[in-house]
Amino acid sequence: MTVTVLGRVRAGKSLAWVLTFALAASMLVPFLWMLSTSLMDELEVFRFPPRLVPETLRWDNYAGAFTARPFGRYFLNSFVFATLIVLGQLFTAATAGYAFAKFEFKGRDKLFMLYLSTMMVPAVVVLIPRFLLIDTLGWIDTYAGLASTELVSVWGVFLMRQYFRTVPRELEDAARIDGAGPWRVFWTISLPLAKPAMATLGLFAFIDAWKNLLWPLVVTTSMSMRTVEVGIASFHGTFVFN
Amino acid sequence: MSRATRRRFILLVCALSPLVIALVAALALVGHSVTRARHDLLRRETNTAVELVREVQSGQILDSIFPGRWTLTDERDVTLDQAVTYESPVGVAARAALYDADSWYRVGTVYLSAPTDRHSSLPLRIVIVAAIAVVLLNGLFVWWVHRPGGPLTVRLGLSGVVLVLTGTPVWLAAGWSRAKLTDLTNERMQVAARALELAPDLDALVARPGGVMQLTGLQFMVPDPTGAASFSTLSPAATLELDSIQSPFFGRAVADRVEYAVADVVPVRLAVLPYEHTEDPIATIMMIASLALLVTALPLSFATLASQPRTFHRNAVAWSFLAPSIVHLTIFTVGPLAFAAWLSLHRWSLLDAARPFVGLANYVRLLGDGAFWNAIKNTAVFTLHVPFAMALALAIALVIHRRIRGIVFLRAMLFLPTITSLVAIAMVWQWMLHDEYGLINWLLSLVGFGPVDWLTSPSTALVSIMIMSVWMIVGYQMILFQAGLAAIPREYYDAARIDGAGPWRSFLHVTLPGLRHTLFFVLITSVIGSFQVFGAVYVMTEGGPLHATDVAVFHIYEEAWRHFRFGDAAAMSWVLFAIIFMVTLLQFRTLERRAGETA
Repeated sequence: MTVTVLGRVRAGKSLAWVLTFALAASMLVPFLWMLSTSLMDELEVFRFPPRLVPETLRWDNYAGAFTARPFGRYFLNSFVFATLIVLGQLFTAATAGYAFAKFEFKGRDKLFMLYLSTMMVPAVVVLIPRFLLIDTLGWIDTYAGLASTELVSVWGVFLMRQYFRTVPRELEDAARIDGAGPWRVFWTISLPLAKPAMATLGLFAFIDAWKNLLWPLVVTTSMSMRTVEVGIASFHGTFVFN
Repeated sequence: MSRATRRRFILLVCALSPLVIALVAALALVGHSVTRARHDLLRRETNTAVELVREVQSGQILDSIFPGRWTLTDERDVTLDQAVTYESPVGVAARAALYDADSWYRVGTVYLSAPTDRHSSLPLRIVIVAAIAVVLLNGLFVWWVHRPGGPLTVRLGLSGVVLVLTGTPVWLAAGWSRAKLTDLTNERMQVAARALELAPDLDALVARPGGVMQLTGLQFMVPDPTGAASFSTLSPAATLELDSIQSPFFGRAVADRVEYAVADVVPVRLAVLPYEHTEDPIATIMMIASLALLVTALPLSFATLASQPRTFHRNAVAWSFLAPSIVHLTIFTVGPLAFAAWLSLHRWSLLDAARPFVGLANYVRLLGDGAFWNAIKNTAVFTLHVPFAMALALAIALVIHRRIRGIVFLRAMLFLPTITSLVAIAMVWQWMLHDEYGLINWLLSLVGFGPVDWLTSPSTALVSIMIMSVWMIVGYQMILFQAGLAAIPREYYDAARIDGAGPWRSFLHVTLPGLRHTLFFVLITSVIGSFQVFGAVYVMTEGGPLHATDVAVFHIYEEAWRHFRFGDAAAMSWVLFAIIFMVTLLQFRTLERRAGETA
């Protein structure tokens, strides 16, 4: 009897295992489909039942996409946009996170809660005023307009604060005894120690900026300033393209 | 003077100066709004005078409308075209070029001075009260700050007194300006109405295209023979509503959520946005005041620390680290949030220069706006995908928990959607869900199910987007659950097994309680994110078919950037914010308490 129970448990586990793997593999299907469709010619795409693998590989579809729209420029814009945001968020999150983690000052916890509560504000509420503000500054359709609104990530402040709390005080104290001021201690001791957290934050900031659709859609008006996301969104063609 | 005292004194000056500056700015603004309206009125009156002289070729009519205020010269100032105001020895005056009947040659210049009885500027008594208030404020603040340990009620009471003292002169001045602006509006209507009545050939004047507009700059309603009537620059809605008001009368009427000043001069109806809508300084004053309070708060809190050098220094250093993010958050998040609230109280369009204050009218209209509530309903339904995604993510996390083989591959697969371009993903899914050529319908047909109109039928479109969203978010949630699971000590499971608990019971009594913080975090952030869904809808359905996927953020986007109704859009976004806030609060209240009970 124990053998059957054990067998059933083992069978159940294997079944769950197989199902999970099947599910994970199915996550890939849209990506493979995207790749496959991007290499088909137009007639093949509209065939039923759908073809899973193209008859001939049409690499020139990619060239076609690049000539139809300035995707090279879009990539450059997305890259500049995301890089500016990563740099900005790293700086603001590291300094603010450091202040919340390492200093005792009046109203610190209340201020931190205030920071956190701004995470609840939907982007769409501040979208219009930010647009009007950027418009007033004359930054519509510029990199400054694209990136300036996103230079602080409260999520990043939270992350850096948690990380800095784990950095032992002793290292900083040693530098302080040697006569270094707080900013010097921050730059030379604490910041280098926080590299892993900075890497995480930088990665997420980059991905988030790259995926951002609404703000670049609103703040760019000319073809040459669009980001990749906006470019693809306005490009409802047969080229499926990642 | 000791160092601490000197430091406290400097900080006090720093704290007081924004308040004083704000007070002076607010009073100046009040005076300025009235002055601007008065100049505007004078310019319009001068234009009217010019029109009338051109029609009649004599000054008799002007004498009955502007007794003793006008002069006509044969000066031909080539630089002058429209009326301009200027300061003359007897007060404000305006002049405009007079053309001949063919509008070709300048034949003279019309001068018009403002009536002398309206020349009262901001009442002196208000300015004096304001000055006294500032001096009193100064003293009170010094006293207040020098007693940092005083009882809270006293300090709160003092803050109240200070606020009232600063607010009163500004409030009085604003009331004064509002009354003045109302007077100016009425005057403008009276002049226009009388000018029309006195015009010898009213029909000709009205019928001439453009001529009427130029007469006073008012909006005229001209009934044409077919019975249709239109105000020249008003929105169609306002035109219709003003048209339906019973005449004759002279007064105020609300149309398209804005109050207009209206006068009937048969067969013409005049309508104009009152000055108290276009020039009212109240909102700007409020913004200046809140900014001043913000700027005041920091040096004040420092001043209480001035006598403790070490604490003072530590605070100053901390604030220097916080400065970049605080400045940014104030300018780009808190400021815009307040500004959105202000916008939502106005009829604000990018296309129309007049942005009248309409109070809560935008919100009132929103209550009866079926399309908006449909969007909110769709958003709520869409949010139901979160629990499904969480259940799936938790199941996967449990299966691959503690297994090493293939885990890197699995994680990578599941995480791929999180890091890929949302627009590209949405487009692939749009293609996979295509009615005729889509992969999914083909797969369904293999097992004998008929084709489903995934994105083209109102009953399935939202569900299709929900399915895609589950696919997109499940990997991200799974990673978080995995981290949560790893934090549950193995001993708990061992203890449960020794007590004879099966897998199901150890899941219920060890895993779930151990994961409650992670579950809570994932639920809260996912729900907040799902209330803000935009990209998928924008790419896949554009809110259709038949508004079946019209979600809140998409609806707001359309309202603002397709219809240019920024005021309404701002009201909607605040309602959305309130809903998100309440939903989050509700989750905190109910779930945290429950989590506390199971712990």
